[in-house]
Amino acid sequence: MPAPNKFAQALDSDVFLITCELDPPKGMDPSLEENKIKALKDKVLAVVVSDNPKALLHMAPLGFCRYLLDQGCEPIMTITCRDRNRLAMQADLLAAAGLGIHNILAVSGDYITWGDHPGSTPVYDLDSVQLLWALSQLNQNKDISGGELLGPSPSFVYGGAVTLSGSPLAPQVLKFKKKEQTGARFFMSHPIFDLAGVDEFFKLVPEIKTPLLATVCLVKEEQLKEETSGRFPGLQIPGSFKEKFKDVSPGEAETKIWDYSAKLIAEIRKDGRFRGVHLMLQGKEERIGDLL
Amino acid sequence: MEYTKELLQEIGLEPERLEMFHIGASDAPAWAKAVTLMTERARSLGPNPLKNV
Amino acid sequence: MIVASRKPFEEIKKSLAGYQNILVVGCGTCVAVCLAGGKKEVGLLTSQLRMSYGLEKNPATIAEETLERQCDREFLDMLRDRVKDCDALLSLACGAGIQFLAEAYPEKPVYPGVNTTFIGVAEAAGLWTERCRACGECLLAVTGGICPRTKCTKGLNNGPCGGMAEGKCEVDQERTCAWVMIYERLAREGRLGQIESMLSPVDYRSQTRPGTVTHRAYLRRYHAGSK
Repeated sequence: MPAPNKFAQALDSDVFLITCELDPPKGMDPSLEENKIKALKDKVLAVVVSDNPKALLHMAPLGFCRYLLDQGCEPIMTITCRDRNRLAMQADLLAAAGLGIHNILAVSGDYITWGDHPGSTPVYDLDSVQLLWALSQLNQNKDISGGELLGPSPSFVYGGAVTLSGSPLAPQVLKFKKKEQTGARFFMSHPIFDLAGVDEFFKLVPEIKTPLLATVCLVKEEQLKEETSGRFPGLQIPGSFKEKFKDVSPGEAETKIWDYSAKLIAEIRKDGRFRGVHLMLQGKEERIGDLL
Repeated sequence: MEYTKELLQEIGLEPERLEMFHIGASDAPAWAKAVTLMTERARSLGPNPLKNV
Repeated sequence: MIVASRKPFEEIKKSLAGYQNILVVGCGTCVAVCLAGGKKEVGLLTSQLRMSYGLEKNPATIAEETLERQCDREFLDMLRDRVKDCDALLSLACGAGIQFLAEAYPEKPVYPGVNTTFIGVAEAAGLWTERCRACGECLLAVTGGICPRTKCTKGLNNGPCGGMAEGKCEVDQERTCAWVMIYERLAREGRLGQIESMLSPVDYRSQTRPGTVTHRAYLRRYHAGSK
C-alpha cells in the first residue's frame, strides 16, 4: 500500500484544506496551463481537475493529472458519470491508480446538451452514488461484478459533491446520506454565497463526520446580470447575492466580487462546520494570490 | 386555421388564400366586407394555380 | 401509447421523388390518437401531395388507405390488391408498423411519413409526454409510480443530481425534477425507506435490441426459454 499522499494526510489531520479547480486544456498540450499550475502549486493543497466541464471537450483528466504530478502538484481527479459506462470508468480508475493518481472526486456531470457535442449519447451508466460505491469496491481490489483484480489494490481517496442549499433540501439530504454510506473520505459543496444559506442543511444533518469543503465560486460580471438558473449548470446565484452588486458600475464589479469572496473564505475558516474551502476561479487561477 | 394555413404554406401555396370569418346569418355588411376583402386578395395573388387540377 | 409526429413535408416529398403511383397507408391506433397518422392525417397529407404535385404539373397519382393497425399481419394482408398497382408505399404508422409493412410487401419500397418518438400519454389536447423507456425491468414499485429512467433526463437511479434547482430539472427549467417528485410521493406514502439505500446499477441486458417477448403459454410452440 503506497504511503498516504499529501491530500489524504491533510484529510486525516486538523489542517484547514484549500483546493482549487482547474480545467485541462482543450488540446493535446498540457503545458498550455503551465502558468496556472505554477500559480496554484504552492498556494493550495491540491488541484481538482475537471472532466469535460459543462460537457465541453477538454483533454481527459487522467492525462492532465499525471502532468500535474510531474510538475509537483497534487491532483484530485474528477470523474463524471456522463461520458463513460461502468467498464470504462473502472478501467480509467485503474489507469489512474497505476499512474499515481489516487484522489478522486465522483460527480454526476452536467448534462450533455450544455456542451459542444450536444448530440452525443448521455451515458450515466452509473450515477454518482453508484460510482462512489464502485470506488469502495476497487479499494478492496474488486470490480463491481465481484471479480478479483490482480496485483496490489488501489487505495483511492474518493469523495463526492453535495448541495447545501436550495429547495427542496430533503431529497439532497437523502442523497448525501447515501453517499456517506459508500465510505466517501470528503465532500465538496456546490458553490455557496453566504453562510446563512446553508443553515437549513446543517439543521437536517447536525453531525457530518466526513471532511466537508465549502466551494466558493468567483462569479463573473456577466453571470451577475443574467438569470443564472438554467444558464450555468450547478451554479445557482441567489438573488440576495446579486442585490449586493446591483448598483456597482461595470469594472468595479470585479474588484468587489474578489473582496466579497476573500471575506467569505475568511468566514468559512472561522465557521467551524467546514474543514476547508474549494475555489472555482473560472479562468482566473493565476490571480489566486490575491484571494488567499 | 393557423394550422391549415401552414399546411398550404408547406406545399407552396399562399396562406392568405384561406381565411375564416365569423359572421352572423343576418349581418349583411360584415358579409359584404369579407367578400370584398377576399376578392381583392384573389386579384392581387392571381388565379389559384391548382384551379384546373 | 406510441407517440409519433408527422415528418416535415419537404422530407416526405423528397423520399417520394420519381414515383408515379404512391399509396399512403395510415394506422388507426396509436398514431391516430396522437393526430399523426390516422385516417384524417392521411387525408390531409394526400391532399397536400396532390396539390403540391399539381403545382409542379407532376402527373403522379396518390392513393390512400388506413388500416386498423399495421403491427398485425391480418390487417396488412388486406392491402394486397391495392399494393399491386403502386410503385411506392408511404406509411404513417409508428416505426414498428412501417417495418412490418415493409416485411409484408418486400417487393415495394416503403417510406416513413412520421418520426416515432416515445411511449407516452395524452397530457392535454395536442400535447403528449413520454412516460416509459421500455427498459424491461420496471421499478415503479420502488419509486412510487414515477419512472426515473424516463422522467429524470439523466436517468439516475439515485437522484436528484446537483443540477436540480428550486425543484426543477437542470436541463429543462419548466419541468419538476423526477427525483423530487419521487421523494415527495414516497414521503407522503410513508415509503421513503425504499430509496434510503443505494439502488443498484441498471442491468441493460433486459434492453438488448431487438427484444423478444414470448408469452408463457406459447413457450413450447416457439421452443423459447422464458425472456
